[in-house]
Amino acid sequence: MNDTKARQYAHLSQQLKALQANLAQTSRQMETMSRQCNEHLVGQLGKVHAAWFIGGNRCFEEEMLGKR
Amino acid sequence: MENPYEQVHQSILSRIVNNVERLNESVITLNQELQHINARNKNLQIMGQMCENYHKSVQFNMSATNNKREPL
Repeated sequence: MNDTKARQYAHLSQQLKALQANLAQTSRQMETMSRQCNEHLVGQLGKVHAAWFIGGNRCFEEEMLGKR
Repeated sequence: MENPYEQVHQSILSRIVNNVERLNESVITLNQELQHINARNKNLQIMGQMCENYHKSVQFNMSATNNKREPL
């Protein structure tokens, strides 16, 4: 095996090691993401805010128009 | 005796090395983007927890002061 080939194989092995580390990190990030997405964050926030808006509307309607 | 496929082998190997290098760069970029997205999602998660806790406190205070009414 000549010198160039040995150098290329060494480079390739280094690159593959880095790739493996990167893919492990990717899989960790994906796990975090799926855990976060399973909590229905946006739906939860939407429901809470809708409840606040409706409650506030009722409250201030009575404040402004007097108790009916 | 010289291997007749030596040249071909060499060029294919160099192409493989190049492609793996580019793949690595792409995966690094993907990782960075995922990290950004996860940081934003974490903020959203904290906001959701805060809102929910506030909601629970409001509900408790309403029922404690007898101001809670039936839904529409």
